[in-house]
Amino acid sequence: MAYTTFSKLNNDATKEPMFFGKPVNVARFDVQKFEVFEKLIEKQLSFFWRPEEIDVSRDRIDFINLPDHERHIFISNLKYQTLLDSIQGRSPNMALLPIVSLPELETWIETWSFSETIHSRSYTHILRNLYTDPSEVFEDIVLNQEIQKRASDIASYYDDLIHAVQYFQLHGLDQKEIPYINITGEQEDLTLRIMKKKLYMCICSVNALEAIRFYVSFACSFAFAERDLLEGNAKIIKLIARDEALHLNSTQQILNLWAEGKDDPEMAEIAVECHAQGKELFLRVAEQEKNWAKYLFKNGSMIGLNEDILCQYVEFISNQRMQAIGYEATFDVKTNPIPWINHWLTSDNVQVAPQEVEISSYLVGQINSKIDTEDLGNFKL
Amino acid sequence: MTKILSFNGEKFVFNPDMTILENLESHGIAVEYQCRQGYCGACRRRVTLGKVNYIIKPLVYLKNDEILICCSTIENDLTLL
Ligand code: FES
Ligand SMILES: [Fe+2]
Ligand SMILES: [Fe+2]
Repeated sequence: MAYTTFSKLNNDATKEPMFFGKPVNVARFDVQKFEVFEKLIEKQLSFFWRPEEIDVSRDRIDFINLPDHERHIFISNLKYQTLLDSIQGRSPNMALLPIVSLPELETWIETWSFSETIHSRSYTHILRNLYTDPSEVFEDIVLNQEIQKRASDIASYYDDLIHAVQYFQLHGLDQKEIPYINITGEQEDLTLRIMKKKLYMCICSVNALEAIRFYVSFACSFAFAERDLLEGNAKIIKLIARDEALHLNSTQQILNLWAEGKDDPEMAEIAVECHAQGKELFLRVAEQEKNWAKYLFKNGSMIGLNEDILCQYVEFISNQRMQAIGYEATFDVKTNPIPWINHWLTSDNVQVAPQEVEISSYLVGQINSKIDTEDLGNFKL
Repeated sequence: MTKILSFNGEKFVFNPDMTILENLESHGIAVEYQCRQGYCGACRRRVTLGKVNYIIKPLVYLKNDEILICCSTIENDLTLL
């Protein structure tokens, strides 16, 4: 079934499933099947920010003064975040827009992906300030084995779905003449149900990315700021984390709507059928993140955070995220091993705990940390 | 009329000027939260008895017996897990 940018079929989107129904035609939001996606769009738009608004110039000194093993932690973490947002800036659009059937969900996906592009641009903003030439850092993202291991795992679920949908759009599902050779080079009987399974696993993988992997990286960024180091970076990560809370919320919505039979009945069956596979995926992500913690701290830990604590946090956050989508908690950790992370994840508007770091939205244009002799040209003694 | 909040077997007189989360915190109980604005789901809890009123409408997927404590007060005596 070929993709069309504007289907002329008369279509009541409120009766369609989220995915694999009739293509969206009129982008209308007066009637909605799942209002929550419209609410997420509004929230995401209200969160709009630009990296350039945040002054990161004071971070350079902190960075230069870090001991080697902490510089390794900071930069590796930033590389990993750059990878994750590079994937997120394009993949929800590529994978999900061709198969979405609700206008409010379609627009949410676009809004979501757009906010990821802001995250990506912010890493360049941070790195430009830390290095005269940040190329070496960016180039290492595709060379670094530890990062690559994660990259291929995340990308594979997206790629698997995208590949199947592309075949389906070109050839339909009748494979008598042209067999479907999947992304790993094997012939596969492609049915609508199989594409839906690929979609289910893809959404699980995206949820694990944004709800677990990202939070492990946030913990590292904020651990520096807890010591009053690299606070410009932390301000940016705080804004990114605020956005990510919405993103992971949206994939939890999708997974729960499916599992509770509120959308496509076939997806409810698939949620049961793929439960074991989904669980395995989350556990593998937890495992990978623990290995990542080992790599981060291989030359030594930092004050406030070490391999052990970060691994406990991986388990804690994995439990939380799995329960949020109706999976059982697997790990033994009951309490958050790094409770201080929560005040970094709190929305600015309702600041309860006084914070050392200024609230970024009030600071725009007020501080100029860089003063040259030129600025002092008008001073006479 | 005073309302009672029960949490983990402990009972507290509920202060209606604060959210459930703030009530618990005011008694020195550390519970999970993140956004404190009803959109992240970190403060999701199960209710076994009672009803809540939302100050901010939750943006999070909640099952029948689940509530967000960061943006709600209690309507009547409430038992939380
Ligand atoms: S703390 Fe985020 S929803 Fe309550
Ligand atoms: Fe992001
Ligand atoms: Fe995201």
